[in-house]
Amino acid sequence: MNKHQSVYVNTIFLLLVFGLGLASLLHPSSERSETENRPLQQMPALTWESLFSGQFSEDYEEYLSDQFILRDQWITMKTDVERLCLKQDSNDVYFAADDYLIEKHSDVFAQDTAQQNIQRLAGFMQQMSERYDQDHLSCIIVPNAVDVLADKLPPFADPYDEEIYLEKIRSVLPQGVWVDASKILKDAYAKSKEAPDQAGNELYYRTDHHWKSASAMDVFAAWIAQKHIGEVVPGQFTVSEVSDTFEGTIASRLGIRGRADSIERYDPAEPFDYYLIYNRSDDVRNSVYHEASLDTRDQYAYFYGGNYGLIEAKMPDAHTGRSLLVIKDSYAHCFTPLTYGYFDKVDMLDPRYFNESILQRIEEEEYTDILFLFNAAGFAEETSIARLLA
Amino acid sequence: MIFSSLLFLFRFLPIVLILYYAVPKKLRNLILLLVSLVFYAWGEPVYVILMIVSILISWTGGLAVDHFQVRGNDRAARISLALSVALGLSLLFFFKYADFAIRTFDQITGSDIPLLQLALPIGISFYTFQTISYIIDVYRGSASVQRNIISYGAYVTMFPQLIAGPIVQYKTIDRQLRSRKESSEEFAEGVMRFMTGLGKKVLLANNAGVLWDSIRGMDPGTMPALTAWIGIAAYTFQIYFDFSGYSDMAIGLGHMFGFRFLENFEYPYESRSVTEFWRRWHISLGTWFREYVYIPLGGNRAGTLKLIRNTMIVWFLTGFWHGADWNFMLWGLYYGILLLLEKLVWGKQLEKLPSWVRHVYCMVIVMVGWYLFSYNEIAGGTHYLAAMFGAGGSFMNRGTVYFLYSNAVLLIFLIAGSTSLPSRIASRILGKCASSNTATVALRGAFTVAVFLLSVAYLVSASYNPFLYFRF
Repeated sequence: MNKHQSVYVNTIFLLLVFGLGLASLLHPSSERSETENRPLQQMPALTWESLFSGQFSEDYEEYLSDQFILRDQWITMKTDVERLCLKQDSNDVYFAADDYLIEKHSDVFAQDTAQQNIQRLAGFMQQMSERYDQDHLSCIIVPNAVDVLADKLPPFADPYDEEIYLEKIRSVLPQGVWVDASKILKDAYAKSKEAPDQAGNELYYRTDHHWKSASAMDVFAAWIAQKHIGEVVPGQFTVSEVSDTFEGTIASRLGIRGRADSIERYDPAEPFDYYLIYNRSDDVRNSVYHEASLDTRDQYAYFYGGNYGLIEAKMPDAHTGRSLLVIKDSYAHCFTPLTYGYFDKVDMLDPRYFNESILQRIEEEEYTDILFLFNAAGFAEETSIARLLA
Repeated sequence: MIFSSLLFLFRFLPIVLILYYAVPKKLRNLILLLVSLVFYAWGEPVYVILMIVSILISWTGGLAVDHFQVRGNDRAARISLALSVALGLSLLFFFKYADFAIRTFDQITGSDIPLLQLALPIGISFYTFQTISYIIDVYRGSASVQRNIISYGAYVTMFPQLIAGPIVQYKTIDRQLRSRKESSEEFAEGVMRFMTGLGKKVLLANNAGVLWDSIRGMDPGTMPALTAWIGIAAYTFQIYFDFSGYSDMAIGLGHMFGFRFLENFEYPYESRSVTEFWRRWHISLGTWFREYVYIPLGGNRAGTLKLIRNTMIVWFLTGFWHGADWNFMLWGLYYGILLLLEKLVWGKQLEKLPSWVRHVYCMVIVMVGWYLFSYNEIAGGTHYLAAMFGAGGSFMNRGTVYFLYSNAVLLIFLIAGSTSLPSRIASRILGKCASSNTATVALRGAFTVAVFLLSVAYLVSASYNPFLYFRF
């Protein structure tokens, strides 16, 4: 390299370093990232304490990365390069067929929590079975997309087989409590492949970690039949699409734009009155559906507006004499509304946010039916399951 | 602070460049010292004091050694030398090994002395070795004493090599500290070298690390042998690109400020014997132990028994230097024994074998070595080693195929990148073109820019960016 050439090299280098440095300094901070659906780190306050504890430097580096100029474009560039290099997964997400982004979940089932939760759930169900017979006590653990949609995974992908974990749970529960959601969904998936072009036969969102409403409907129908609660007949529910622009949490985590999903809701053909009480406060609503959420990134919050510790539903005109407690994670949000036609009262309790004794609540409310509903990976890693027995 | 961060690239480096080139030459060492202290204090606001103490001890030690030698008082010079080396080493021992010593003592005697729970000061193993080399070199007369505390401080703290080497011996940059000539050509070479290192770290080492992480967490009881080998190969590449990338960045930054550090790696994975491997891996550490431990002990000139003793001492210390735990000692002794075996037993026969056999022999030893080295991070412990040799019950399964093809491109880059192949191909394509040929420079420049932009993309979206050699 001669002097002349080195000047060119150095100029380009300095332009890049100073240019990007200045640009990232001058461009205004954003409050939150819509793509990643999270608040972004702001410029941290400088105090002696934060400086000496190292907190300032940590926050500042996060701030720099969160607020870096063209952040979304850099992330897209990285993911594109990975795809070009034939990488089939990124951040524990498979790039699966038909534009599905499917989480691996392989690690969670090997953790101690996963095994402990089986024992905790078994203990809870044993205790419940002293008071509830098998028609009034249910456990639904929904397998994740990685298990049900296994044939969409990249060739030779070898994730953990969730069936093994589900079988472990089933084997320790009291007789008749288990509802085999895995079989129901796998049958539904097999059937959907016979008519692949039919709309509304997708079981999981492409870009989000939840199941779709149609899956919840299938499991719901099988559940009320198995428990002799009733029977879903054709025409009983009408389906409507409420959004076709949903890009969920998995796409967010990868920082990429996926193929947008649709969200469906199932309404009873013959509507009835109900109202919802949120967290025993004066937050009383007339609808499960939270329209404003459709304008945000996290459109799944259309159901109930997100996660709450306790949402009580009252159906004043039902007169069924039955009341249901659903202990759940967010998979229940598109499932629970379907139950409202069969009970006078349905309480939806999320152990992650409900900070009182669950057993005491059951004691006081004298429910006629108990349903436990979680997704498999979520259940395996959820530490608050311990609170079932508290 | 680490080089492969947005903070370093877009805040620290631009500011340092402005400051360094804005001041007159005689103030440049002062600038280097000050910015290096900031560089260190950024992540270690308290331990920077420890480093300053260490600098003061060795600087005073050097002055004392020189003072007594000039007056012909060799005894006093010796005592000054011993005292300052002992002080430096005891700081290193206290902060790095005290808890290990307490734990071991507790285990042996059944007592219950509480651990100190001190965080390891970053780079202490590196800068302590540099200060020791300085005092010894002054005593031996192979370096002249540095009376200027600013220049000496700049030598020890110099941010390019401060936290992960190379271990720069004082005598190799003594003259550069007093007078050096920065130039546009040297700066440009430094830029390209730095970017090469950045790419090695961010694009190759980190991605090899992702592959290693997904395998080391698996249950080795059912792990196919090939999967276990892919895992340890990924770690083998991760540690090479991580560490040699760091050295490249250090050497490149050195050039930008007019310094020339010695090379630290010479394609070690091309080696055909363990002896050759250690001549090409972490050269500055090997040189340090040879000059300051092995040769003073008598080296190989005092008979076979002494040779064995000296080799084992050096390799025990080399292992221990890498970390305060048994597996590092074992790793050091493993190499000590293998080096002795090559020297005394099968070295001659080895040379008669076909080159590829020797290469396989060397790499299997190196990879088993890295297994020992990373022992504490592996979920399955000793079962992992067993899995490498078939205890998992199968040679390969679906998962193995998945790992291989979904990482195929990465593996090709890793394998090719750890050899001299790319540079040989480049020189063949460019043929006899001089290095100042416009096409050559343009190609290298374009490559550098591409690596830089891609690295930034990975850094912005990075969740995975550790430096392995920070622990040492």
